[in-house]
Amino acid sequence: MRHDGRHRRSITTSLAAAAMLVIAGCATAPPPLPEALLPPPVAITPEPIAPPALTAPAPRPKPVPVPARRDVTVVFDADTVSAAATAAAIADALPPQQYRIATVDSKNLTAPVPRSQPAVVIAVGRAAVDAARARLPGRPIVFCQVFAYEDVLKDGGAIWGVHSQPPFELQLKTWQAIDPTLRGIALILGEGRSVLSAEITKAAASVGTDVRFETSHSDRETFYLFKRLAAQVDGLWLFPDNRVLSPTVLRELLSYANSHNVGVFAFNESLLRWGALASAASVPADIAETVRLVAERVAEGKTQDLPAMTPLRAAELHVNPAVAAALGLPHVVEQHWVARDPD
Amino acid sequence: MTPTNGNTPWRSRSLVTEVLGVQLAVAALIGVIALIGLAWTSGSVIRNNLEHWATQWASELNELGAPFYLADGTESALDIERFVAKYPEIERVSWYDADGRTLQSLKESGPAESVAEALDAKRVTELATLAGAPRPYLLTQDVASTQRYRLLGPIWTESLPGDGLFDLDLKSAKTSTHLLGFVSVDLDFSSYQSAFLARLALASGVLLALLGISWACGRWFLKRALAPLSALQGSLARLAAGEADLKFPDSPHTELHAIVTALDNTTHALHKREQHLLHLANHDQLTGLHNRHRLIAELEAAITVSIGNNTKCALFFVDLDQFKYVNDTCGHASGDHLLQLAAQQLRYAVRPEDFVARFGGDEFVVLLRNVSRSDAKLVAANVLELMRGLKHVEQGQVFHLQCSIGVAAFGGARFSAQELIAQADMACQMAKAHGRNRVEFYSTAGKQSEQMARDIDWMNRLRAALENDGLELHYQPLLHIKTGKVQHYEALLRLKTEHGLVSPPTFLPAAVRFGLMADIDRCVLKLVVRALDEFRDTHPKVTLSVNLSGFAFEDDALGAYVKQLLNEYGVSGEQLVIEITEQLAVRFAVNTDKQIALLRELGCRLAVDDFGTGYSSFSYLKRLPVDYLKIDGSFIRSLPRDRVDQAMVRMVGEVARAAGMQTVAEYVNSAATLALLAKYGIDYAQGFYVGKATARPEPVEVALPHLVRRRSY
Repeated sequence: MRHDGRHRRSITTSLAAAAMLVIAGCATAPPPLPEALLPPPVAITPEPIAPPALTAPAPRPKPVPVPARRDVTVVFDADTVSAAATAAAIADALPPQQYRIATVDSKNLTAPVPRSQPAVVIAVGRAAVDAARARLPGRPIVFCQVFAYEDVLKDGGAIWGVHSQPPFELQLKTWQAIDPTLRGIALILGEGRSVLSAEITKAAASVGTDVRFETSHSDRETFYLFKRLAAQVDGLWLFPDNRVLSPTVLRELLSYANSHNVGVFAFNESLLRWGALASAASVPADIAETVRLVAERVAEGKTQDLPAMTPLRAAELHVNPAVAAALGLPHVVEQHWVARDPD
Repeated sequence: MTPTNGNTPWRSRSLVTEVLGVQLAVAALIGVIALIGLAWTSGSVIRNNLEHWATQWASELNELGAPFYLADGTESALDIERFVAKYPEIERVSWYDADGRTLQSLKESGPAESVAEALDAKRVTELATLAGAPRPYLLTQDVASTQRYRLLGPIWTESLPGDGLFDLDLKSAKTSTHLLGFVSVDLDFSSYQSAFLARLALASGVLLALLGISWACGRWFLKRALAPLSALQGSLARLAAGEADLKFPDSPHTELHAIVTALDNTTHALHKREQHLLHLANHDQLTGLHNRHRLIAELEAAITVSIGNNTKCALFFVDLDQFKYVNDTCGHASGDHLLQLAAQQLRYAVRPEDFVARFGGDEFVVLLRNVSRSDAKLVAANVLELMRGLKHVEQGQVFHLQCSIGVAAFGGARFSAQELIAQADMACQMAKAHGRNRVEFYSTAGKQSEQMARDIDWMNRLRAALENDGLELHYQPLLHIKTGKVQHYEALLRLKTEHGLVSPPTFLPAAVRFGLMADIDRCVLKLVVRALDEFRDTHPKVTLSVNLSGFAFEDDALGAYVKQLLNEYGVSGEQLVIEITEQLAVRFAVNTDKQIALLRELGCRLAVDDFGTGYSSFSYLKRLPVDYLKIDGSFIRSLPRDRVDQAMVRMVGEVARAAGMQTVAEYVNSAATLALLAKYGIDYAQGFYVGKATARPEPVEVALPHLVRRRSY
């Protein structure tokens, strides 16, 4: 029996989303839930408007039209710790003169009164996207920190995204800098990642590496596939596809890779201690800046040429020198740095 | 070779074989123990390893579960077949769905003929709980075989919640588990067992080969080491054969050198002892001259030489005159001294190559080699002269010793040694008869020759009788005077001839002359003990007396012989009374002393025969180890008429009673004599009046002076 890899929701999240749908009147025939199970409604409080100055009246100048500040709601995944930090960074990146920002986690998001509908909803994490779609229907959404973005985009609507992964080309160049002999790379993903695969293929082609894609349906199959690919490739590029990875398989996989001299380029620094050669993670500031740019365009309605997914421009990189030495890459000195895409 | 030591025979064994046998037995035992230990240890190690391998294979279970989670089952099936082929211990791999139903069973060459049975619900539940556990498998052993195992485990997948794994922590991440099914691996390790047994057999073969080599090498080495010991065998065999003058081959080895030294010392001591025993066996202890035994051997040798060289020899039989007088008046110590002086004179009188022996008592024999009759006569005369010149002073008295000499001259093979001695003895008797202190030559003509012929005839008859049971006993009763009962008989020897029975005085001189007394004594003892056995039923309390000569006590084995007879016939020694002469009892030689002591230990009683005719000193009675005194018949025959005899008998009776002895009067021929004996307190009476000797113990009827006539034993 195969794992279908579909996303799961926690009961709390689902109940909260249902409640918001009920409040918004968008839910269709939801089962009635007891009042006690519903989360308390969270009012989205607009930022206070600065009071007028109390100085002596001067000759009234010709009034300059002050652009109205737009309401932006930042929703973050309540179950992901890093999502809150990213949400905070995004909120900081948005100029307060232009936006009234409300930050809320996905579990406590409630439908606002109609007059305070946000101009843009920024969703950090998949759960936040789902919550925003459920409780703030019709609002344009800019999301980030969603790996399975294809699943999000396929449902359509006014939604744009920012890649959760650092630029692929930047990662590949970094990996090549660490391992100059890198040629063949294995990459195992779950089903439904064709767009992602295409982007990676394009990036790989641009840096002269060959990526072998395999589609897995479970963690066991991932490991199984890797064992069969290990002899044919120089490295394994791990992507955070939660459907086809498990802690057990990650440990076995990293152990197997080391014993077979296959370098693993991971998505998380914590995997270095288990044997990954290097890791590349997105930089919160880069995420925030990119989200801001996208959100501004969405807020301004300039979305005609806005791509569905906007790439990041920076990556936080870590290298495990012990693994590098074991793989015959002794020239690696720097262990931690942030790289930016020159473009 | 089957030598005997005492009564126990044993089979001869080689020391080398025995040592090697023990060595190999121990080595084999150790080897067997080692092999058993090896088998046990190896079996244990193999079992532990099997379990360890099984645990290792457990990690492959997920790999084996690939058909559950792989989209392309073909490839995984091939992988599994390769996996199974890689491990011959894997007999079969089976898959079950999550409910335990069997999906498929696979072996090395493809689908297995026999599909594994479905898992029961209990096992399914048990296995399902193992999904995600640290040891996600069960290892079960086949009940029927210790070499067959089954490895069972669940196949499951896990996934992480949340998109993107942004907060991934491998240590604390929670996962969702999804059970796919189960896999079982049937393992058969019997091939290891077979391989191990084959190697064990090989090891046993090698061990046997090593033992064989060890045997061969050990045998060679031991034989080499023991070669000096083996070299002793020849010398030891000669030693066992009686040869004492030996030299044993020495050895460079300390241990063997010590043995050789000990053997040399032993043979030296044996040689000395042999010389001493030989001296004792061939010499008379009192005079230092050769004894009768040696005389016979020397005489036979001289006869042989005489035949070969055609030479003449002469044999002197010397009998001291008046020796009995000296002995009786001055005591046996004085007599012994006199004998020693006489022996010394005899040695002086002859050449060194001549031979001088003490024949017995006061009789000596001299063998002159290569001597003519006239020379022999001169030598004899010289001996007489020397003896005459010998003065023996004892207790203030001067005794002039004289002797009578009988000479038997011989040359050739006409006569045997015994016959020559008898001839010389006969000539000596003639010299005594002609007045003593003279020399007489044996003459083959006349009376001497006739006497000699008669003696030889008796000798032949006696020998035939000894060989053919021609001697028998007659029993003369001894009456217990006080009670009138007869339970005691004297056994008297009779020689059976074609003319009837002959009494000892007729044939005993010839027996003494020809050296048959010892054989006759033994024969008499056997007849007496056998008779006691025969009379066990009819005369259960009877006691028999028997006379033994002094020659019997020269036999060291007399006591042992009597003991053997008593044991053989189951007769008590108390029923046997041995009569010895007064001279033998009084003189009491060392050898005689031992024999008498041994006879008394056996329960035999002793009687002194013919008391009063020899050493008539009552002081001897105090130390005589005897139970009965038989008063010589010379005191009894005329007892009713002779007052001296009466006084003598009365006194002997009183002294004997005081000494705790019983007295026996011989030659009782009248009622008057019996009455006097009763009056004097004599215990037993023997003679024609009491009863003559008969072939069997007969009851007697005697008119007792103080008792009514009665019939008794």
